Formats: sequence, structure tokens, C-alpha cells
Amino acid sequence: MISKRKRNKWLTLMIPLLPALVFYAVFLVYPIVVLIFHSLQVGDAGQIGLDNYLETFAKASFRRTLLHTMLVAGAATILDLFLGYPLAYYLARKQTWFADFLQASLLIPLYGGLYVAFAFMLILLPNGFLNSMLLWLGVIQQPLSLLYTRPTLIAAFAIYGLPFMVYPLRAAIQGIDPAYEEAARTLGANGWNVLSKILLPMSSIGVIGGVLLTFGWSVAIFSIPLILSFKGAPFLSLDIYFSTRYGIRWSYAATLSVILFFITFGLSYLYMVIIKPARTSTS
Amino acid sequence: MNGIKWRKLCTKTIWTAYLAFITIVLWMIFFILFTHSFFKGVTLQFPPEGLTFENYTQIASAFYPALRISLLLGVATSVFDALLAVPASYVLTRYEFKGKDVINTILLGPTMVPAISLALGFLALYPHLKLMDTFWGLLFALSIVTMPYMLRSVMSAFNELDPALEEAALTLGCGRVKSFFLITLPLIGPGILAGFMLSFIIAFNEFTMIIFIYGPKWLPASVWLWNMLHMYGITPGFAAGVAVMQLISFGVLALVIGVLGRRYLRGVSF
Repeated sequence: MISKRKRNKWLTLMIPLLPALVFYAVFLVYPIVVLIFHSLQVGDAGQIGLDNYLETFAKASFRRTLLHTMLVAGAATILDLFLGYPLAYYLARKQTWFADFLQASLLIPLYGGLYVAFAFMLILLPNGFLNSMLLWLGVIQQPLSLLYTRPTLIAAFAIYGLPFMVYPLRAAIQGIDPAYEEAARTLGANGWNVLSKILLPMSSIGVIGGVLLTFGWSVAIFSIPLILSFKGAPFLSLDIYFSTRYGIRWSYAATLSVILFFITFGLSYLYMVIIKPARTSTS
Repeated sequence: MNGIKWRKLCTKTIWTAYLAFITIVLWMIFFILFTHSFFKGVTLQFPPEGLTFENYTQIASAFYPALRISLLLGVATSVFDALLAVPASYVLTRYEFKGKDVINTILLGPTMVPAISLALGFLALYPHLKLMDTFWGLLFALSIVTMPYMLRSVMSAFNELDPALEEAALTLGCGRVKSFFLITLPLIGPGILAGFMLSFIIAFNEFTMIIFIYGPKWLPASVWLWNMLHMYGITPGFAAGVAVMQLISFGVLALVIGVLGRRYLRGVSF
């Protein structure tokens, strides 16, 4: 009797959740399942196997693309960690209008990956802003060709990834009682000691989260490499897009997508579902 | 004493320089495109031959239909998000039940799935559902991407709302449905508005999801601009189009933050 009532209550609670869950089932879970199915399909007879993955990993061009994508994303992540930590500290500790302004500004790269790439293009064109300024100042004699280079790609990736680094870090630093810092300072610790002995160890969860999320998202960016990539700078997301352009190569595109999916999903899941709840509940 | 003073000054200078650098980097994205949109001439060289408003009027007739589609999709996506997210958030924040953690994780799922993979999945799925190049097809794709932002905004609003207010209404003889509309909904209004803003801005500017499933009938502004870049290269007209998109996004952002105050940016947290 009790269990029946309990079940009825559970069913009543499910009613408001149902539209969202059905929507997610059709437009999130189903597309991913279809992709995984496509990537496992071997030949036209409908056999299932890992052949596509073995074939893909056997290709030298794929391994180079994967390595290159990860190197650029990794470099951008490291750059973001150094760029983002002070900003996260500032946003966590200061309640000024400027802190609010900066926090709102962080939304710009979040929605505008495409615009980051456009802006880089305009600044770095041979007759663009930077070259003209440098020429005018007499720093250089010839325009530099900066647009299609790897440092530019890494910088654009880093701007795109900055919010993914700063938000987890800010949340972690907000959880540290400022009294610890003040106590250390009163006892004579200098800024470096406060950072290395107090802030960094106590915000390690944010550092881990920031690195995992930033890397996971950078690996899969599409709009920035689409515009700023050049010959010799292959990206997985570009490979996926171009293999759908002229006659879709389903098994190849699906295999790459599933690989990317597991990288991003694995890293995000590790942080958001396993590390973050476990750490915040014990502390 | 002097040493300490000097050191403090030094620290302050470094902080100021750092914050200025971050601000410039973030806003350069907008200002470069905005200033270049006034440049005269066919190519975007710096310094320009002159300044003009013509770039805006030139692209207006071709760009306007695409912009209208993006605006419509942005608003429709936010409304659709709110319709699904408000009831779901209510249950998830008010009740304890079996499977709640799993549902919570699933609902935040789109923030863990790369857009490029999901977009290819949509490309595989849409021809069968007859959603290719349709309004609803684009709406669903944008909605799945923006839903977590709406959910987090609304859920944090529910979390801050004292359940006692609702209970008081119930005790005083107000029905559940009536108390929801009279008490709860007005109080979480700011949370919904904040989610609305985030959903709108992200849907309005989304590119990766759309480029796989757009068509000639429903061509949103972001893809229109990419097509223009692809065909004509980088031109002042192109910069003008991007500047319009950015100005609309900032307008919505500034309006909502101005109305609500700063604390409603919490929908974006990871």
C-alpha cells in the first residue's frame, strides 16, 4: 500500500519533467546513438564491428590530425590557466562594478567563437590593423604574415576557452574563506607564499575543472579552425565538416564525431559528475 | 615603510595592467569589427580611405531577411526553453525522489557534448524526421544547446525562493496551480528573464549547429555572414553585418543586466 502510494507520488513528479525528458531523448540521446550506430556499421550489409575505428586509427593522417588538435587545444589550455587564474581571483573577491563588467564581458567569447576568428582576421591581415601600426611606428619594414600561423590559432583558441577556465576557478576560489589569506599575510607570508601554500592547494578542484573543461571544449571547436586554419594545421572538427560536404562519407564522419564526443564528454563528465560533487560534499 | 609603499604601488600597477589587458582582449573582438564596418573602399585596409555609413545600407536589403530569421529563432528558442525548463526546475529543486541526480545530469548533458558531434547527429537524423531546412528543425537544434543555461538560471532562482511563501499561500486556501501562478512565478521571474537572455544570445549567434542543417529557406544571419565571407572575402559590408549582430547581443545583455542587476549571471557556471 505504502509502496503504491510512493510510486504514485513518483509518477506525479515525473509529469512536469516529462516534456523536457522526451525532448532530450529525441534531440540529444537519439542523435548520439545514431552516430555511434553509424560508426559501428561495417559495409552495406548492416554488420556491426569496430572496423571503422581500427581503420581510422591505422591512418597516419588521422593520427597526425588528432595529435595536432590536441596540441593546439593543450597549449591554449595552459595559456588560459595562467591568463585566467588572476581573473578568477579578482571576480571571486571583488564586488566592484568593474568586476561585474568583466564577468559580463566573459560571455563574448562564450557565444561568439565565430567573431573571435573574424576579429583575428581583421587585425592580422597583411594590410590590417597590427601590421599598419607596426609599419607606421617603424618597428618592422615588411608586413608580417601572422594570420595563418599556429601561435595565432592558439591565441584564438585561448580567448574562446577563457570562460571555461575562469568559471570553475572562480567558484573554487569563492569557496575559500578570505580569513586564511589574511591570517597568512598577518603572519608575514608574501604574495607568492599565499598563492602557492594557500590559494592553489585550496582551489585545486577549480584548477582541475578548468583544465578538463577548457581542453574538452577546445578540442571540439569548429568555427575558429574553419576560418583561421591553414594547410598543415588539420583539425578533427574540420575533417568532420569537410567529409559531409561533397557526398557524405558517413562511417568516417561518424567515427570522428564519436571520438570527439567521448573526449569532450569524458572530460566534462569526470569534472561535473564525479570530481566536483565528491569534493564539495566532503569539504 | 617606504619599501612596503613602493611594493604596494607595484602590485597595484601590475593588477591594473593585467585587467586592462584582459578587457582589451575581450572587447577587441567587438571594437575591431565595429570600427572596420565604417571603412570606405572594397578591401579592409588600415588606415582606411575614409569613413562611411554606406556599408550598412548596402547590405541591408540582403542581410535583413537572415537577421529577421535569427531574431525570430532566438526569441522562439528562449520561449520554448522556458516552457520546458520551468516545470522541470520546479520539481528538481522542490522535491527529493529516486533518480533525481541522474535526471539532473541528463538535463545538463548538452554542456558535455561537443556541438560538432551533435550537429552531425542532427544531419543524420533530420532528413528522416523531415526537419531539414525548417523552422522547427532549427528551433529544436538551438533549444537543445541553450537549454542548460535556461535550466541553471531558473533552478538557481527556485533555490533562492523560500518555500514558506508558497506554503503560506496553500495554508490560506490557495490551490497548487493558483499559488504557482500568483506567488512562485512572479518571484522567479528575474531568473527566467536571465535564462531568456542567455538562451537568446547563444541561439542568436549559434553557428556550428546551424551550418549542418540550414537550407535556402531558413538561412540564419550567422551562416549568411559565413557564406558572404566564403564568397567575397572579408569586406566592409561583412564587418557591418557582424557589428549589427554584436550590437543586438550587447543590447540584450545590457538591458537585462541593467534591469535585473549583476547577480543574475549565474546561469553560466560550470
